[in-house]
Amino acid sequence: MLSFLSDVVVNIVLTTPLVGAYTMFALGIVFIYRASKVLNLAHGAMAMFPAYLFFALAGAVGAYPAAVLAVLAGGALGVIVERVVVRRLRSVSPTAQVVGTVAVLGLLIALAARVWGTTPLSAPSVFPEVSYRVGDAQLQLGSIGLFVVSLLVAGGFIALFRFTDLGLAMRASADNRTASSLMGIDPDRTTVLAWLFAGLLAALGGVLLGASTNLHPFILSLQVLPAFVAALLGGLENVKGAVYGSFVVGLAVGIVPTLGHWGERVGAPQLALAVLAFVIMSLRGAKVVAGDVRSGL
Amino acid sequence: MKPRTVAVAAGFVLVVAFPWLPFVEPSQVINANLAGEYAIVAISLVILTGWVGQISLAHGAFVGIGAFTTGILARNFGIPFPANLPIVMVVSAGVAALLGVIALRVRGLYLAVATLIFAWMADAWLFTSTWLVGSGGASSIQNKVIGREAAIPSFDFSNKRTFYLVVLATLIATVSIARNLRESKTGRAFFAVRGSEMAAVSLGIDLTRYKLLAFALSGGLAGVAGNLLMTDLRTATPVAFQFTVSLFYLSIVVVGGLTSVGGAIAASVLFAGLNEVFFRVTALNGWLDFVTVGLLLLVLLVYPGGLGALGAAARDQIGRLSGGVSERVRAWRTSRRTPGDVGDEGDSTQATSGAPELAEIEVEPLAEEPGDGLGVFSRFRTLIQDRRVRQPERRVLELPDLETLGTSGIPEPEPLDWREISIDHFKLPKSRAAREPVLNAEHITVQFGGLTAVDDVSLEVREHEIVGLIGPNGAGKTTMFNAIAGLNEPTSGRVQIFGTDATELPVHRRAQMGVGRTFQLIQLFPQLTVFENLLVATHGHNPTGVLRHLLMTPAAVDEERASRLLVHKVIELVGLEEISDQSVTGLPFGLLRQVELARALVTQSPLLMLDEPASGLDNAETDEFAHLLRFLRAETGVTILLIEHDVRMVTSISDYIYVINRGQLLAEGQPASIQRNPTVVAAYLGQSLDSQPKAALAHA
Repeated sequence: MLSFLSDVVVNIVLTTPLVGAYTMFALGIVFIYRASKVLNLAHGAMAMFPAYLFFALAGAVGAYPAAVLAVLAGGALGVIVERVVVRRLRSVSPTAQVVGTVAVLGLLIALAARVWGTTPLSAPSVFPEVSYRVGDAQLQLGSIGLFVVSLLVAGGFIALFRFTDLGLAMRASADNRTASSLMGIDPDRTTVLAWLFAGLLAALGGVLLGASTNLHPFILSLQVLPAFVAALLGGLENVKGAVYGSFVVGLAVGIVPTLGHWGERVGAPQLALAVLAFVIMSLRGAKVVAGDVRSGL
Repeated sequence: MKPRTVAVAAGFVLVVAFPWLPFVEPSQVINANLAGEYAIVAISLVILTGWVGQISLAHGAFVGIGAFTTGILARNFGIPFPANLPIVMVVSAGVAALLGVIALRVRGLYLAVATLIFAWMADAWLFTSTWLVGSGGASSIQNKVIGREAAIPSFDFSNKRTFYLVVLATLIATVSIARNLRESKTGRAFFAVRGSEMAAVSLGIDLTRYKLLAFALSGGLAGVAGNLLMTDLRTATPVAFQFTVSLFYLSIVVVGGLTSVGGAIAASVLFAGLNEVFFRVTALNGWLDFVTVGLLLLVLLVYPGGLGALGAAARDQIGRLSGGVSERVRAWRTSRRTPGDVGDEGDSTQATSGAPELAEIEVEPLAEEPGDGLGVFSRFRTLIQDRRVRQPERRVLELPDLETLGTSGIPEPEPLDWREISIDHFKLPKSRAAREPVLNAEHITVQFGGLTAVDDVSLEVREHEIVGLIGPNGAGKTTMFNAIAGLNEPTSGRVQIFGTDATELPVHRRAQMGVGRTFQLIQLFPQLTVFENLLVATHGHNPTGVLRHLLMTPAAVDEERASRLLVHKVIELVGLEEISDQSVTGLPFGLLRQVELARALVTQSPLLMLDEPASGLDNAETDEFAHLLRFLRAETGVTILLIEHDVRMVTSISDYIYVINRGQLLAEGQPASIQRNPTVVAAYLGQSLDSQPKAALAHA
């Protein structure tokens, strides 16, 4: 029993970098959803691609400058996706917007696979290569760094939304585009800002996660899917909810493999999370018809 | 023979003979087989995403489930190729239907994420499971069980050229199934679900059934493609079905134009052709995925209609150049499809394939139900209850013969326009008690959380009456109306329709009893013509099932003909002949109201519920609409319940009026007594009883 408990604790500690990365991804997903009413399926690629850029630049300019450049590139990528794809397709349909983000995802994965190949690569570390013993496992300083950075960033954004004019403007134009533009807020500007923040966060998460795990065009991109589950858990429009959701999802990923024979299976955490996501969706989803009706009264 | 027939026949012979043509190389046969397999998946996605509007990012996984099931069946049970096809189809249809259960609860963007998560789970768990894939991470089947010693001895399925014929035959079967579906009750129900779920249920379409059916059908077809792939390649690894493959299939469909079967096939051939080109030209090695997705993005940004729209545009262009040959062909095809039909509905595939289709799918953001924390168990219980309650008998409104309009049975020389027909001959029995009750809403209370929107309101509608339900803004009219229609569950109270308790029945089953309705915000299906919109409403009359529609059996064709005749009759009755072939988008608002009313009439429901029919109409249009209602009541005896803001209209046409205010019944009675009732006047105009608005009320 005691060994089981210590296994659980060790696993939880080992998943802290994942929690950090999910938090940053989930925050970006929420920003974008609030600003554009789009689920950005390209989010994974917006994390993966800067991670590869970091890998490519680190040799030339050193780890820290490369990390900064890659994160900035991620922000630019967010803005480009919004400008070139999502905004142009707004007039077509929401489906077209979703398919557009899917296309960006595919495009970046294909590009990364072509340039860097599909064999996993290991990127240089951002944080010093120090590791601590946790039970039978090693915890890298980079993992702790990822977790701490994500908490700082999340706190910063929550404060930004809560306490600044900019945050208020972003919340207002997310709620009602027309009304807030009548109030003198430029909704296009706040939308671009949301994508910029989301891109920076995705890139930061991608670079740090890539540095503490491996680089792979698909696998790194798909690391964003648990963040979608986390954002769903939090209610999709709720910044704090996204943070809580990321903790729940991270804990699930950490605990499931300790749950005996079944949990040790490859893919068991993914199965558990998929089931969790489906249950949440079934509970949260609007009754099919009622969503369309004027709410009466 | 016509030159067109010759060209088609020659083209078909070329396609069939493709692998044996002298210049065709083995790799091209392999890619031709791939093209066919892509096309089957693409058509399955066209049905699900293009027609029913449900985005799927998991079709690669469905194909994979089909392929690995084929492997298991062949390896472990020794069931060879043609025999395992139906089993594989059923298995993958079942898995897809499970995912479809999610689609019952969430829509649009959320569904896209749900399918994405499913695909991710399939990658990480399902396709790494040895029970499915087999040990060593790859599934393979030996030649023996699919080859000439097995099921069909003279046919060697391991021969690529032979297999080309198998793929081609399966593709042709898939296309004909899709086409049959498109022209059937089931296909129309699919389009209705995509166009407006609200309107679909009000026409008696069971959303649960048709969404699950669409997922099962689509997943089943994807499974068939997986079966063909496995049998063709004889080995499969999970990489072939990973998430990016799902994106690839979606790319094919979007490039093909999303709703067009022809476009999907064209795009499949294009992508398989790219495969071949990239295989041959070494400089391009490794760029295939990039170009594929790039093409998707390009089509999306530049020409959202895709190849389907391109094809339609080209056909129109050719038709114009060759002096309308294609027009004649179209007319011929129409007349052949429905022999004996009144035949003026135009070719529906033509009518809808021209426009950029992607623009027409609306994805609604998820709306949360207010105050709803009930959880899955009560939902599940409701679902079971819905199924358990027996469906009450259907009531059908008889529509008059057009020759006898306006004369109570004395034939007129020719059918007249209802605008000119006097309705004076219609007399409602004087005493209300002499009329049969049609609808009884007893002591209805609806609460949202702590808010009581409707408080113990009873109302009654009797045969052949026009009953008005009025009240100021926020009085609870719509909530009451929705409780009667089944959209809100009343906290307490009962709803009886035709003397049967309907309180427990969901919307579509109340509709099937004989309750038709229209909406304040008009809910027509934007991608369909007027005729097709009305045709959807024949849903409840048509007893044939989906299997008959897939195969277009004689029974299905007969029902289709009957449906079209009925629609034509209603179109003549309401006088919509001139716009019957037009798309509903772009029609004037007054006409749209009439079209929506006509659609409710096609359901032949003896009771019509109209939600603010005069909103958005000017005075002349309102008068015209009111006259249409009186005319229909006089000719068909239809019973009408309407809620309305326009007091002038309600008092002019109603036989009986209920007034509610702040959720409570304020007054009821004949229009004249309501107009004189001081509490009603006060409720409408505030406390001051003087001046102009009161006069307006009295004059109305």
